[in-house]
Amino acid sequence: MTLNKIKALYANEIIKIFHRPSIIIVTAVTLILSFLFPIIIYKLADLDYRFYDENENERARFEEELTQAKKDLVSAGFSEKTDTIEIETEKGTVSYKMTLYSGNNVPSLLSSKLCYEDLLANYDFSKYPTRKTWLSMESLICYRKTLNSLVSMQMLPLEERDEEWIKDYEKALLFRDQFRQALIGHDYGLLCKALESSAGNVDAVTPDVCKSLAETDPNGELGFQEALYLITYLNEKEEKQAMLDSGLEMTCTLPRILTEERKEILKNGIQILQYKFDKRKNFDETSFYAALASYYTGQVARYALLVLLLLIAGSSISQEMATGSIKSLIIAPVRRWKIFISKLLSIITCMLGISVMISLLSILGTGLFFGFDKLPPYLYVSGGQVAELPFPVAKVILDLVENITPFFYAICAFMLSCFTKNTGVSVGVATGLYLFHDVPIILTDSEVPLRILDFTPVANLNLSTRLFPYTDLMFTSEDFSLLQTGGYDFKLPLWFSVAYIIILTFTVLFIAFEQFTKKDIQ
Amino acid sequence: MAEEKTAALSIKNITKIYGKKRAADGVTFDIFPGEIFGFLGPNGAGKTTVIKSVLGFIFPDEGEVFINGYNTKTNYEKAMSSVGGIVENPEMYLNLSARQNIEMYARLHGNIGKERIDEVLATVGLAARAKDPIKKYSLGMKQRIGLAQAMVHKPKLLILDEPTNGLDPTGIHQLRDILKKYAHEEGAAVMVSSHILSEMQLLCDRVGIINNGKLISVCSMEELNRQMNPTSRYSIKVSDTGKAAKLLTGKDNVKEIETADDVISADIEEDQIASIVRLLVTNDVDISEVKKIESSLEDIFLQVTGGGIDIE
Repeated sequence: MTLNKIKALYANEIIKIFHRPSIIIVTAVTLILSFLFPIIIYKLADLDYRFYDENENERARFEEELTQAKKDLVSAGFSEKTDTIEIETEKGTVSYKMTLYSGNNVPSLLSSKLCYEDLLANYDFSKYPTRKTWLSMESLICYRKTLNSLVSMQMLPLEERDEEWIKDYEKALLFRDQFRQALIGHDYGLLCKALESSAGNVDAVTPDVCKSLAETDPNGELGFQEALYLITYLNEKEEKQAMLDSGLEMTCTLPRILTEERKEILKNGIQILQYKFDKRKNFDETSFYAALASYYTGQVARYALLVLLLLIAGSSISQEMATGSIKSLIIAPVRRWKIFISKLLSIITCMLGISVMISLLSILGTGLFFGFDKLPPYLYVSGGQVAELPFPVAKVILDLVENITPFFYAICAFMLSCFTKNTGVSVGVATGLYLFHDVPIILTDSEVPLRILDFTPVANLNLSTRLFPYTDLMFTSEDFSLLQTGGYDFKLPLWFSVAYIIILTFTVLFIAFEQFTKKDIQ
Repeated sequence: MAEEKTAALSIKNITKIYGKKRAADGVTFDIFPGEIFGFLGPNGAGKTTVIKSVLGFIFPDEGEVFINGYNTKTNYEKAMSSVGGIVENPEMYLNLSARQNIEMYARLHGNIGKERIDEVLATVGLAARAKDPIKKYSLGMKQRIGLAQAMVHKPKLLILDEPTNGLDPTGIHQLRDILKKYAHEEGAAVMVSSHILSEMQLLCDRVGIINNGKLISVCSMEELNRQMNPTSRYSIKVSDTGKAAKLLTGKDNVKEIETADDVISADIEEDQIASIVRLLVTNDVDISEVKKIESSLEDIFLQVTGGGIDIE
């Protein structure tokens, strides 16, 4: 009987919600935005490529420049040859086939298929940055390294600088100028010459990474993109291992002692990176822009969802009070707590339903514009094994977790709607709370210990990075949020954050319940 | 106790206090099946407070309400399943159609078929406009649809607050017919509060008058008329009031003579009116109108609430 009444009330609530023009409009805008927003990123990405490409006949120009670059190499005294390098590894000696230009000191740039022809064959001009970007990136790494080297050399006291130091310093100055010119002029020949003459002093990759790469790709069959992401995995793995070994986590401010939870996350992270490396598959950067589109679509849709939820929850009772339609509910043979529960259920349904629709539409939109293969699965460790969660599933769950924050503010709006007849007040105040919730944290951040901020009502609301610690390109909003006060330092266990959200939500709901069920309706 | 079970509505000592004001002060009365009960009182008298206490809008500080024998405090849903009502104005969901509004309300009662919804829509004369959204309705149409909603589950007690608001004369007449039929033929109890006292006079079987939160009187319309009109008084429009007054003065069956302009009024026994008319005419006093003067419900209401007359 009770359940039947709640079901009837619930059905009525859903009908009422989706017959309101404002809700229909915002829902439609939200869903359309979820599907079409990736176009904006797609167009921005296109602009980005064009910025580098400079003209539409880039491929032809590239071929022309390639020919010129080869001439440059020859004029710089390089000769093309294929060589095999023997590298000692734990598994024995591995032969690493390399196509070199006069020497063996440019492995990161010229090894295997990282030569001009291969680049030309594999380069997708419609989607990826041009040669200039690529060259600029490599030149920049080297340029920055020589600068670092110069700065560290300058740290040596004057009295300790001997002739050898002066020689090295002059060499470093020369490399700096060469890399700088290569960077400015996108001069591949000059870059190669500088690398050659630096005799391995300025590597883009560490010897260990090069060794692992050689083990994986003994025949030198890797393409440029593949080599690039495999190197990234290895570098990240090295960084994480270094942190584990030292017991310290490097942050943007001060190093922090690793907690057991962070150690576990780092260990699992290493396992996942090894898994990615072993699979020789790009899980992260298949398309930076696809991930970006998926992320920003989620962010934009989240704001739209927030508006929608605040509108639904904030007007749930106040509008009925203002228009007087609450009368037909009160006169009906249903107790007020049932009306309250049904309204709450309808808000939860909207949150879940629309959140899932937004996620699916954003996946569909991103997939259609960027390709569904560009959406990597979420990797996690379960029972000591790395497991894959398909992108759509992971994205839907992640979005639901991230939507806890808008949902909490919707519950606040619901509570306010029990106190006022003015929907503008309940929606406006809840929106204000959402937009300015972090102001007290900003104001007190420098004065109050983080421990105390962990307990402020707005902290610990976002569980996304706690529940999805291995999201790399599936960005989470917490990365950019001040809500990380609770989660950032990982001082508090996950159960605390979950309990915190539950208690906070129930407190707000209890106030709303008391107000609605026990007050007179005039 | 026997009365509690038979009454469709039994209000016991309802008291509601706002600050220092007692909006309802020990209000007690019963409404029985088959009768139309008028609930009268000036603005702020406590009329709406009592109705809202019955319908669950407000929680009284003291007292109890029994609907169809069920106490609203302990058996709320059973009690409320026997009630239909409109409080102040029939406020509905404007974006939904009349049918959708009624369907939603019917869903909360359960076991109400489409046929019954069609029937009530036809009863209030809005079957043809049932698919239109309520926002397109006039106030009168909203009143009708409110009535349809209130009656859809065939409640044993119908409570209507100002039901004639916005209705045209035809609508008022139709409403009167519907309510009379519902009470007198179908045996439901109807409680109506209205400011249009002439309508109440035509509609109600009994009235209750409330002022300053206290129930002043509850009695039938006949009893009320008897109490307020103990004698029969007539007004006669004549050509010469002075001459007419002289002729009537001193007659045994003519008392309390008053003149104003061309009208002379007096208490006259009903069986003497023909001889009085003859007397005047034979004495060359022309008569253009003879009218019996009766106190209307409005007069009674004003006297009771304004003059503080205890008509009990």
